[in-house]
Amino acid sequence: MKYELEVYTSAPELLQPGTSDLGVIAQTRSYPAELSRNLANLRYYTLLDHLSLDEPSEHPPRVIAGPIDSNQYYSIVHSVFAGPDHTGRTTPLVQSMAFRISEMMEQGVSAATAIANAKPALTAGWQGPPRWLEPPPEISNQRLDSATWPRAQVWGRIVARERNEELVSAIADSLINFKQTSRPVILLLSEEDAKDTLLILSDVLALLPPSVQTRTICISHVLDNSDFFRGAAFGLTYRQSAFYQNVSERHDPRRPIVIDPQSPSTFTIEKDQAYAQFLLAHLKQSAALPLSGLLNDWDACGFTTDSVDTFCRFVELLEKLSHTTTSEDVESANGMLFRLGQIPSKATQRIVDACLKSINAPNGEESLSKPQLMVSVLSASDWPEQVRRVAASRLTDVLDNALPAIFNQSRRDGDFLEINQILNDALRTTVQQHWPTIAMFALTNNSSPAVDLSTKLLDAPDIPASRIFKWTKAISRRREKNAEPIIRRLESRLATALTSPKASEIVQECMEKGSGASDVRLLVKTILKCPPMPKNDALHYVLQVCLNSKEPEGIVELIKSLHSSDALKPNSAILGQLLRHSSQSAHHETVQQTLAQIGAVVHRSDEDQVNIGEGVASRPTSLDQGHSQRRPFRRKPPNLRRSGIGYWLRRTTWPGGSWLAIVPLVGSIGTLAIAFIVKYSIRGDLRPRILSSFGLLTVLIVAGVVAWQMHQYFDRHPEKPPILNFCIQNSILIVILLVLALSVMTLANGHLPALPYFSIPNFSQ
Amino acid sequence: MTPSSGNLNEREVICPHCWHQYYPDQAYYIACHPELYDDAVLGPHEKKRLAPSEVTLDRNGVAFDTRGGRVTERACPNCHLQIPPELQRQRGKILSLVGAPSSGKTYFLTSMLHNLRSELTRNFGFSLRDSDSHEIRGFLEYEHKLFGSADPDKPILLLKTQEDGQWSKKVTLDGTDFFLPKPMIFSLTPTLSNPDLAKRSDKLDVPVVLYDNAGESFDFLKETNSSSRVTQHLGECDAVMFAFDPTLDSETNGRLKLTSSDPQVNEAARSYRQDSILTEVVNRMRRNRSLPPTKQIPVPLLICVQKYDIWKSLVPHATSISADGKITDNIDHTSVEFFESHGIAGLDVFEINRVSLLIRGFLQDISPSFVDLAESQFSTVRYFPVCALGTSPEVDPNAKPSANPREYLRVRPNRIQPFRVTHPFLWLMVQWKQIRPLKRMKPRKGIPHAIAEPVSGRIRVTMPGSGRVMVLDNDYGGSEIVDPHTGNRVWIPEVVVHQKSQVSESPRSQTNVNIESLRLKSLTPPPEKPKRGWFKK
Repeated sequence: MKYELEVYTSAPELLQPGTSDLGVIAQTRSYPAELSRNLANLRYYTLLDHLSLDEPSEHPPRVIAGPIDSNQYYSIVHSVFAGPDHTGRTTPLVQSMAFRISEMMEQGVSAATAIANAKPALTAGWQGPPRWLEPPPEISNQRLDSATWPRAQVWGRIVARERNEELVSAIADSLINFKQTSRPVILLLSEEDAKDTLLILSDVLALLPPSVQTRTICISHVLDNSDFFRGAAFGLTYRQSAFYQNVSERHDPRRPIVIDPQSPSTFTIEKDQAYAQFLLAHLKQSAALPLSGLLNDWDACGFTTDSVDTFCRFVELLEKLSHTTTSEDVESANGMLFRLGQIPSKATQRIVDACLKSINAPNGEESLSKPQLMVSVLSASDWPEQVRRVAASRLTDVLDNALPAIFNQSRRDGDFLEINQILNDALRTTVQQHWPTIAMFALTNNSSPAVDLSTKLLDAPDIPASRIFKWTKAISRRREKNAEPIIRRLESRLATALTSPKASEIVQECMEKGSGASDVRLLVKTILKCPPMPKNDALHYVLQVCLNSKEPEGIVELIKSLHSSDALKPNSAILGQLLRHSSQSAHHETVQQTLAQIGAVVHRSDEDQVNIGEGVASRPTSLDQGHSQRRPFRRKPPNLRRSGIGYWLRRTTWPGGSWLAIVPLVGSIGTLAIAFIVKYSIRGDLRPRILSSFGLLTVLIVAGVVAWQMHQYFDRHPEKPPILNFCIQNSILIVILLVLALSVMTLANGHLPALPYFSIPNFSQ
Repeated sequence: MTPSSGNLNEREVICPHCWHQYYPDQAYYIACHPELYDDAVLGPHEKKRLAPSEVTLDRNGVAFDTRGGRVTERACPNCHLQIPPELQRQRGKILSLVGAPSSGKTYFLTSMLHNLRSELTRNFGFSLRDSDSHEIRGFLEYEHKLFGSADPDKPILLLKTQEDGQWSKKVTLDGTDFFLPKPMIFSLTPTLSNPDLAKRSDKLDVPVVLYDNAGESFDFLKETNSSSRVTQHLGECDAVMFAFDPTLDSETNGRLKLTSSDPQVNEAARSYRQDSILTEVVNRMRRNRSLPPTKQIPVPLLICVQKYDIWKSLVPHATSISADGKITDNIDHTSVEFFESHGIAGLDVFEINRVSLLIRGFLQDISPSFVDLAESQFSTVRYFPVCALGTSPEVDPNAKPSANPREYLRVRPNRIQPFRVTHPFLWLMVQWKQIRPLKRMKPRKGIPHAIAEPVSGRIRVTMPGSGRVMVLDNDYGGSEIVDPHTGNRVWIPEVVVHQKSQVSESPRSQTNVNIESLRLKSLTPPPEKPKRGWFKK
């Protein structure tokens, strides 16, 4: 690959005529002038005091690599101490190489490659006259092979051999996170080791994705703060340098990360260093995929340094997918996919390709488990849709041929059809374990073949009813339009099961512990939808299960279902049982709901069913279980007024007998009373509101009469005390009027137990 | 509250790095807490600079940073580089050292400052102290190498001054990176023995700021880096010292080869057009000061002609033979005279002027364009023969052979014999009215008088023997000189020049002290001075 080069040193004659001493002595003609100006500030070399000036080769180079002040060029500024110049004084030799970044990308030359291959092109001193460098020099395009890492023997000198990988992994991890942390990495070296700076930089950069390599600015021979400018991510310095002393004093959040090879604790890899873990795995040859390919994937997929952890999970997933052969692998990969989070679209495609590759593995021994694998893929909800579609398609093809044979075939030994036993088992397992997944996939993706497949799979003979119920529940929740055939088929199967002699057991199985109201609702709905079945028995089973499981919400749902269904006759026994058990549950809301439902049943029953209604309505009276104050019900002797009203209305059932059960939940019992009273009152003519208005009118009349009488009396006897004499003289009249008013008010009051009763007119609607 | 903030007459401080002017209480603070790093201007690895509003002052005026650390150092509010406390109080004397590459600037500067430390204390009642500056470390290393070597017989060399990095600092101003110079800042303070301490102590205490640049920084032929402001001090300096190296002139070199074995004129000989450097210096000074071409630069130019030990034989009339046959050196090792009665030394500025004319004659011989350029552009020009080392550098015989055919030129510290290196600075101190010059003398008998007449603020002098005409500045009036053409001593009468001399005084540093009132009268007749130093032969 061609590059631009500028050589700067001290010479008696420079490239520009008439100039001498420090300056540019050689340059390619197309070397960008702006870049030259930008890099001019970096053309110096600071000598280390303790190294001999007589041996320039002992002085480590100062290398600055990165896109310095330029978006177009990747620069490598290599400064060395070049010994004495023509004036007998010390002089630096600075070679500034500039690679066009676009060309690097085109030719696939990474920054690490450029640095590694630049080493042979660099010289330690300039001899001869100034000259233009024509044609532009070239470096080898030979890419670095990460499999042979480490290339630089210097790592063996820097740190113990067995810790090489850990050291570079820690450095690379910090570098790739530099954008987020703003904490550069400082590697402490000896001057001897620093002579191999180019190799060190190349080796470290090679562990980064190419785009990150190109962006990472590296500076070696950092002696002073000003040597390490803003934006630089990687620095090499010495333990005696002022820069290191300065860094070691810092405690700010952006202090550099100092890695001292002599202190292993500075590069110990923690669990949260995902990238370091990933590198370590590859450098120790324990990973399946080549590192260079994965790093190229970083750019190809569009990962950024904001998503390092995601990339590591992505790589882990690719590794997993590369050897996914079993259902466990698929499930494991599914978990990884779930944890993967948001990834670039190209990365998604890469995963899709990997998944497809795993599905399309060549035939062989694995092929026997292929249907199982594909079912696992289908069941893996986080797998890419495209892959799952393919898997569904493949699976459909297989099952289309196999299902009739499987489902019609008993499992007697030696009586299998032509398909092999493994495939049969796989398919049976598929139905047992993965049917909901297939169905869900079908519904989610609106896949007709999958819907058909799901429906077909339901023909399997040995699916427990409880499982059918569970599936029904799951599908019903989806409320997908295309789920109707599946749900119908499911309900059909469930209804068939409930008509069997083992219905109670089936209900018991369906209503597992912890089943909620929705389960009851669904079960009741299913029961009600199936005409041939003995519904009351089934409902009784349901009720028993609900009661046994003490699920008040389930009971309420059952009651509601009964209420909304015309298929059932009111069953006082069930309702009474319900009320009793719900009262025992100490769940007031349940009791309230139950009473409301009872009231509704009573209200709905006609004259022919009056006995039924009365039976139901009298159930609250049977709740007397004692005198405990902890009970929700307490008994109270009926007062004269209520008894009178009851007799007057010619009903003996309500209030029943000599005792009246009054629930603390006044609203509920009141509702029940209203439902009862209104229904069986005197044809509905004497409405409580009317009575109420009569009472008021009577009081007004009485008051008017009294007022008129007092007026007459005072006109006649103005000298006497008004009130007392009036009462004495008109006592009979007043008594009569009071009795009259009290009678009317009592009558009205009997129809007006409390206001809330009139605010719940729902039963007549 | 800073000490100066209560002073209503406070003057603006000028930053020696970026030349930003600000009032002392506007200076930033340099945080000292280890958690306060990353400065927006200086970079992520520098301590944070805090605006005055960001620090907390206790009732004693002690400042604390945002984390409670006590801060003492101040920085420029523009470039955020550290400003020593001396410069916070007053504007320092700024000296720019310029010259061609390898002309010996750094050696000269190191030698000058090192010798000034002792000479000022011993003779003038001054001390030259290192300031509390971050940038002084580089100079101290140089000084230690040359004059503090543990093995004085071991050849040493100073590193070549590079264009960037060594004496410059990168800062980011308004998003653009600039390289600003790292000055050497010293504090010139009177000692207790200084007789003027009681009267003028506030005037005598002056910070001195020196700038050393690579010679390449002044080469106008090379592409200049627009972001580098390392030579911008030329726009603010109070004096320019030009390190002129005659050995860089090829013709002079040819002449010196006959008489000198110095490797700088033989094996390592080279040439460089030093007038081009001066041209560039003049241009930059005019640009930075917005001076029109018609106006002379009001800053003295001190042309320090380096390596006197090599070329002294080429100076015409460096020695004179009196009528009685006695040979006298017209350029001796010192122009400092100590007055025991006063307890302080004075500088013989007339001798300096006399020597200056002789050196001018030498330079006129080897580089007339340079002399012409200097005198036409600067209002005051003096020529100083100096020798930073006093010995020829040599190739280390013990150096290991290497692939590089070139060899270092080194010096042995125990052979260093500086010659008149302090005189340029002492002459400036006289101009700044810090040390005393000698009093004018009366013309000696038998010495011919030149014809002097005022010409546009200067003196036009017609030499009595040769009839040659010279234009000198007013300081030459009333003094005895050596005619550089004939070698005869000539008396230049004092002439009243109406135009005020434009010597180096910026408005801020002007004092009301008349230099004439400071002059010391010589107690002994001048001809027979005691010979001291390395060049007494």
